[in-house]
Amino acid sequence: MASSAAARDISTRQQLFDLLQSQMQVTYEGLKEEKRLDFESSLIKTYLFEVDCPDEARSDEGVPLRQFVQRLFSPLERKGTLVFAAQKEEEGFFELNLKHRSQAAILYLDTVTDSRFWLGFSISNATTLDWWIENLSRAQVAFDTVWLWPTFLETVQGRGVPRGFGLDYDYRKLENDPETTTYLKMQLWGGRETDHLYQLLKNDERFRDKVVLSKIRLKEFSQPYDEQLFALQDLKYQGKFTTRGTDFSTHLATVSFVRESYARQITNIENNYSLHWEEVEGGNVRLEGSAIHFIPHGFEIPVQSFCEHVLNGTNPFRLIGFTHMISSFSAYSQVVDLHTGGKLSLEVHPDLITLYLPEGVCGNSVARFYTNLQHFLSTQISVETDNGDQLF
Amino acid sequence: MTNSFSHLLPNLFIGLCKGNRALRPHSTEFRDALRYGIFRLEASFRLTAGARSNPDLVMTSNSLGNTLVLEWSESGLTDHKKGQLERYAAIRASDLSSVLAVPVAATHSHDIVLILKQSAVQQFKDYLEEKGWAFPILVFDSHNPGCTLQKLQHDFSTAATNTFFDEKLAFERIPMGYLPFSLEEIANSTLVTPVVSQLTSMIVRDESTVRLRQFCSGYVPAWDLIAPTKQQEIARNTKELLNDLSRHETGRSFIRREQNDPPTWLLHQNAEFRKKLKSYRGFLNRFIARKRGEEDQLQLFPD
Repeated sequence: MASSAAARDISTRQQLFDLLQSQMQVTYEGLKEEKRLDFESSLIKTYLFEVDCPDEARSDEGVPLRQFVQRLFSPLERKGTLVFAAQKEEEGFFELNLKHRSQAAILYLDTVTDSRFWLGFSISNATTLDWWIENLSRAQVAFDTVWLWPTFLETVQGRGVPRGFGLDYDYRKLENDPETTTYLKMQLWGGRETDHLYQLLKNDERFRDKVVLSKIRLKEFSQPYDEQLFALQDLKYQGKFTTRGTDFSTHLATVSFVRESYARQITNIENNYSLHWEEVEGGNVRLEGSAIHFIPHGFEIPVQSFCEHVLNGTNPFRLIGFTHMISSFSAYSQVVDLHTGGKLSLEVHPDLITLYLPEGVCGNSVARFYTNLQHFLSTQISVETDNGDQLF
Repeated sequence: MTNSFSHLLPNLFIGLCKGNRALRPHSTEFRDALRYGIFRLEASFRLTAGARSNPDLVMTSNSLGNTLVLEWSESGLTDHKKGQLERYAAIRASDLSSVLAVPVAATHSHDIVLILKQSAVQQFKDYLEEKGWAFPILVFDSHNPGCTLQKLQHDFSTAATNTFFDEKLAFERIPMGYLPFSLEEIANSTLVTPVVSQLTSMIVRDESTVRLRQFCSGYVPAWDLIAPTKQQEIARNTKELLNDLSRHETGRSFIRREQNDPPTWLLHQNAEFRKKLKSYRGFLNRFIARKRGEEDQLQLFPD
């Protein structure tokens, strides 16, 4: 974090927000005057994390929350890296200091406003922060980022005026022929008309299966409308915001919207579609929940290649599958999610992937699977449950 | 995964009751119009007349007021089967409602339904005729991954159920994930994949100790609701598999036998497992293939 900010003693979220409000304005004025800024040097970064926090960390007994936070945010197997978590005056609000070789970063952590979806705020160097979060996401089973699928990002962008977009599609993981390369990556920043270009690409026959929104930029004004009060925000599909502008509270409102909408979807998956046997009257049992179907439109799933390259434990899916071919064209796989250790099973057919989510497995796994399918297979996939509900 | 009736048919009927996409349009009709739901898999209950009945599946529909008591058989008509049929013939509505606790609303009528392989049909048909029992017979033909279900003779009690099964039902595939294995086929070969998957999950979650019963309850759906004899059978097979893994040179590097009573194993840190993920995955896939007797799969995971 910038030294001026680090020097201040932040004890509560209110103090942090006051600091970030002034930092936001300074950065924006600087940007306007200089037209440039060291790479994200002092822009405000806000992260949305999904954390499996054990109940005992919240109670007076067992491991205190500070210790849990300290352990959770310590990169694994990294000699020369130190993390210190300090509980601030406001309960559940932490300052995390990272020292990694010659680099340092400060992340303020809000575990108060949602027990599962935590927020991190920082104005430290983006490269260091991103390395940190990436490491945690790979190594800590209680920690994951959120996974925002393209239509979700579109909805968020709809809150303000479009200012550009980033696309990220990469089919190369599944390609067997090294001579063909099917990927599409671009970033385009500008005014409102960028949305028109996005729509053109999205609806173009040659591009539509590859136009995968990975980042959005929007200018959102305060409510009621005041042209002087706004937040110019970038949001990446793994839940990282970068913000400048004049009104930090507008940014916080967007963050709150994203968190609530995402949490609602994840809870919906877990409560309504995870499969579990329930004891009912008379000692009998009933299977509650539903299978979740991923339906490709206009293309076939390359079953063998999919099982070989997607279910092998590597990034970004990080699913390890124990797979049997059930016919020449179809496979059944019992899968372990290396992010969380959760189990699920998949049936993979050329025209359908069916996912069975057992009780207790995190709904975030389903969001991650769907979002990554879009980025690495095709956008032309719909998701439906047994009873016909459309997910996502 | 096996293709036995006891694995395919529960998954097929659960899929029909759930309205599974792969079974449409039949599943939509079964769920929304007939409104059948799974009541009990492998029920075991005393009849008022005294004997014990063990149908493979009981499904009920309050809206039709009907209960389907299903028995499937891949083999021919044995004396044991004849005894079972005798007991099914003795089932009364009061047995279903008072003993098995089927909702009274679903016991206005009931059908004993036999699901058979084509090769076994004639024997059963002749025997039913001899006894004067009008149990509907469905012929199940599985041709991996699809199957057909066709009514051969005798009507169901309700017109709607009858109309549904009058048509030969053809399914391109059966969804197999509702029940990962059959409780009728507890063996190393059927349990090895879920056991390996559970073990991997525990290693990734950094759990350090495997206790047998706890381990089983982690991978067997509705463990607490399974009969103790079945639990013992599952636990015995699971123990064999974990012991085999812990005896193997590679397996020993992530699981070690700790003590016999109660059976306990120690797991190693997941960091090592993550580092050597590729080789461990290959080892575990070879272990699965050997236990399942799928030597042809071994070439996919060379040593």
